[in-house]
Amino acid sequence: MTNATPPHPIHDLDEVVHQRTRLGILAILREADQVEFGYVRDALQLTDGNLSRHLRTLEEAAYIVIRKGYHGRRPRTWLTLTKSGRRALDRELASLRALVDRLDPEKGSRS
Amino acid sequence: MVATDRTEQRPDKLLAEVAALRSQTRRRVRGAWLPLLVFGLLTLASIPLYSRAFDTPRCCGAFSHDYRTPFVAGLPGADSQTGAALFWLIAMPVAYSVCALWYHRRAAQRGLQPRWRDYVGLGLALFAFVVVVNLLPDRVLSVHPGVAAGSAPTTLGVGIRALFTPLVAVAAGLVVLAWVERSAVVAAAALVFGGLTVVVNTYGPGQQPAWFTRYPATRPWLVAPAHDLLLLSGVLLLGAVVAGPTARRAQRSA
Repeated sequence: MTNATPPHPIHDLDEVVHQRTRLGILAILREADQVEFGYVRDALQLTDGNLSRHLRTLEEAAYIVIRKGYHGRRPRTWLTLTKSGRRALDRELASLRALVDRLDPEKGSRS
Repeated sequence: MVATDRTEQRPDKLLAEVAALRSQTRRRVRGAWLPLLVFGLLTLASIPLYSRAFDTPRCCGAFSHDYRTPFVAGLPGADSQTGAALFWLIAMPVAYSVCALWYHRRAAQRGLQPRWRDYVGLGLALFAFVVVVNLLPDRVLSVHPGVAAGSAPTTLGVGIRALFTPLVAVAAGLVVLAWVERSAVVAAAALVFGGLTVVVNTYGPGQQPAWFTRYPATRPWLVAPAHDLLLLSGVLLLGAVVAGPTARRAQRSA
């Protein structure tokens, strides 16, 4: 008879998503169909370069799609969360809740 | 969430920050006040489809409206079924186009695009379904020509006709919008609007639910089509009045 204990929720954390800035980017994209680069930059108070670096990481993981276009003569970059990105964010949030629950059961049940 | 590379990443703090960001984005993305306004005005604009729009019964709910194909206008009692059908066939796509255009332009200005395509697509699909049901001949729906005018519908077919009207399609579309924008205000407006439409259509002209008033003659309001349409449009316009300032406040806080 094996005494199987559930794995610690920390093992379910996704390195790509768990990073604080990337978590913020995905949280914004989760609530809209498409979000413009400038909106995310301003909302998270990032520089263009810093945001671009994180977006590249998320795009390589196939969590977001980046589309470039124009509004009039102004170039615009639109970001969309993919299905796998949505699933990754939901999994990450579930893992974080499990972690909070484990560390502080009272607080975990409230969040 | 101000992004810094601080090492402190306490899970409860991260969760709180994510929740705050999502809530803030959701508030800023909302724009349902315009669809509520557009469909509220459209409901008002349908009043001229009823030539006796303000008629009330003298006693106990006796109208001479025909029940056979009575719901194409939205409520029973429209004079010209063809005119009513044409009105909605033109007005619905135009109304959804106005909403689509507005959402598109707003997204370009704000850099935040809601899932308006889901709303417009599903809303038009629901309307198309209502059109198809209304095209079904009476014999398919078991609607008998002998159904007494002014009496409550007694056949399943009349019940189906009462349920699948353009006004119910508007309500169903707004339920989709409430889901897309996660808006309790829009959900409440859509459910009250749709619920009232079904109640009015199920009881028919001149009739009211017993729990509301026993004899329409003593309560002559809310029995004529125009009274019902004023009430229904009022629900959507009130929703727009509540949702509009909330959206503007969210934008100002950006």
